[in-house]
Amino acid sequence: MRFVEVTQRYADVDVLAGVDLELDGYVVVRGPNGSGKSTLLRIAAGAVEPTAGRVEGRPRHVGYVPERFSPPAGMRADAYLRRTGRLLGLDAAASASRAEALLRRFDLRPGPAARLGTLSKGNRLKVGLAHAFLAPVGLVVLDEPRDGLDDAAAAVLDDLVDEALARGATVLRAAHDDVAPGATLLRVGGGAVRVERAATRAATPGPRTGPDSDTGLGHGREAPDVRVTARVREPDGTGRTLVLTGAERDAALLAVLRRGGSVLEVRPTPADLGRSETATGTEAETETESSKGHP
Amino acid sequence: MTALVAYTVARCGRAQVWVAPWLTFVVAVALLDAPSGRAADALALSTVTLLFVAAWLTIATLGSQAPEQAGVLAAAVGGARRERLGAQLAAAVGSAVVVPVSLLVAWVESRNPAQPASLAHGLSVPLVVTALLAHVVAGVCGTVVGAALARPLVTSRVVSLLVVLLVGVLLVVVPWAPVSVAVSRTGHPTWGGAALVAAVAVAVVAVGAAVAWWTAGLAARRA
Repeated sequence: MRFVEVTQRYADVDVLAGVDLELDGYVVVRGPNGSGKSTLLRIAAGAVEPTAGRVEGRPRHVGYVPERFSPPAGMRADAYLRRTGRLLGLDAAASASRAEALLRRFDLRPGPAARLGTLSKGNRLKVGLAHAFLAPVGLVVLDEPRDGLDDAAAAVLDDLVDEALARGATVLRAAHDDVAPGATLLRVGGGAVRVERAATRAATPGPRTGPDSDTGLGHGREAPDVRVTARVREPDGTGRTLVLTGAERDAALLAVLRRGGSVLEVRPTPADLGRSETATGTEAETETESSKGHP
Repeated sequence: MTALVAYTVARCGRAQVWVAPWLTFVVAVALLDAPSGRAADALALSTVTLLFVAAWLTIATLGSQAPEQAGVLAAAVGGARRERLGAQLAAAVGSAVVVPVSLLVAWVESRNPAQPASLAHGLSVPLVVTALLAHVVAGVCGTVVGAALARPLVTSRVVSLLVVLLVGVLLVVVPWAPVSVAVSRTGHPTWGGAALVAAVAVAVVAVGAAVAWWTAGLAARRA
């Protein structure tokens, strides 16, 4: 999908000014409050047409969760999803079964028959997210979807994002944090959109990482460009040395810890070591040496 | 588009968005009894009523949804303009629901034993055909005017109301305005009059669709 000279003006202010952009894979949008993140997402989703310019190659159906999800209060959660599933191109049976499965997966409380107006903020958001992932659409747009979600629901969200990426969909997501270390990172501000970091992994997802995960651990925001060498021990006793970029660092180390391994040492990497490997970033690909039976 | 209309009908039904315009129509048509007691006059009166009620119902339909939710639907169906057109179509369906009430009131009027003269002016086939076409003209005009005056194009309810009244009165009183033609031919039904109202209805549907497309585009940019 492509933005061509997209301008959005509110009250004589160009929130976006002539933005040209190519969107593919996992794209995270960051920027301060009022910088135009939500505007960029609304235009990408087709919720609003830009003042000038155009969006090319947007799929017919888009799963979109706005910053403030305000569904009709009197409708039941399951009925809402069954109906909006039809809007997303599903037939009645597929819409109903997919809605039921997603609400169960998100563990909607008090239950799928609850009226949307009676749900807590987090539970209402679960319904919004279930809508966005209801159909196998080519584009999913999420405006700060982590706000108000508990850890379990956030984990489901991350899994759904991974599944969407795996089937080749584009996922565009606004966030205050760098929620996906391998994703393309855009920064919005002053009417412009700049690519802060190109995607460092393919659309096929790796292990779930980042502050959206149930650990809530950090993600290297203080020094994103530092390259480190880490010595780790896998659960089977295999010792490995990994060279990692700042952005991938926590993700890879967290994955080792999750497998039951240990991180033995982390130190800055000299500039001449591992330069070529850091582009792709997963620990398997950046492995520079290994030794069996490391203590 | 069918799914979007079904969604909007369900939403407005659940939130009782249409109840007030519907009741107003029923009460107005039943109480504003045609002074002549003629079925034709009753149907002319209900045509005028439908114009204003359709505009109100459309403004209520488009204004009763959070803009964020309109965005969710727009993304799902392929754009904000398409979403707006679907909601307008649903409003037209909501307005059409009351048309049988017009016929019922006219039928009761035609069988009123207190006014024997009315039997001579009862429900004839040309009258029913003309009246139904006149209701199409009024309903489409009301829906299109209402859509142009609904959020986000006009955010003030007072402004919307005043402009609806002004445009509505002009559509009724200006000679050869579509509703004016429809009302006058309903008052004196003939097959020739029915043909004229049919032509007006076709023109109103065509022009109305173009205007609705245009205002939906304006709304899509302001959503």
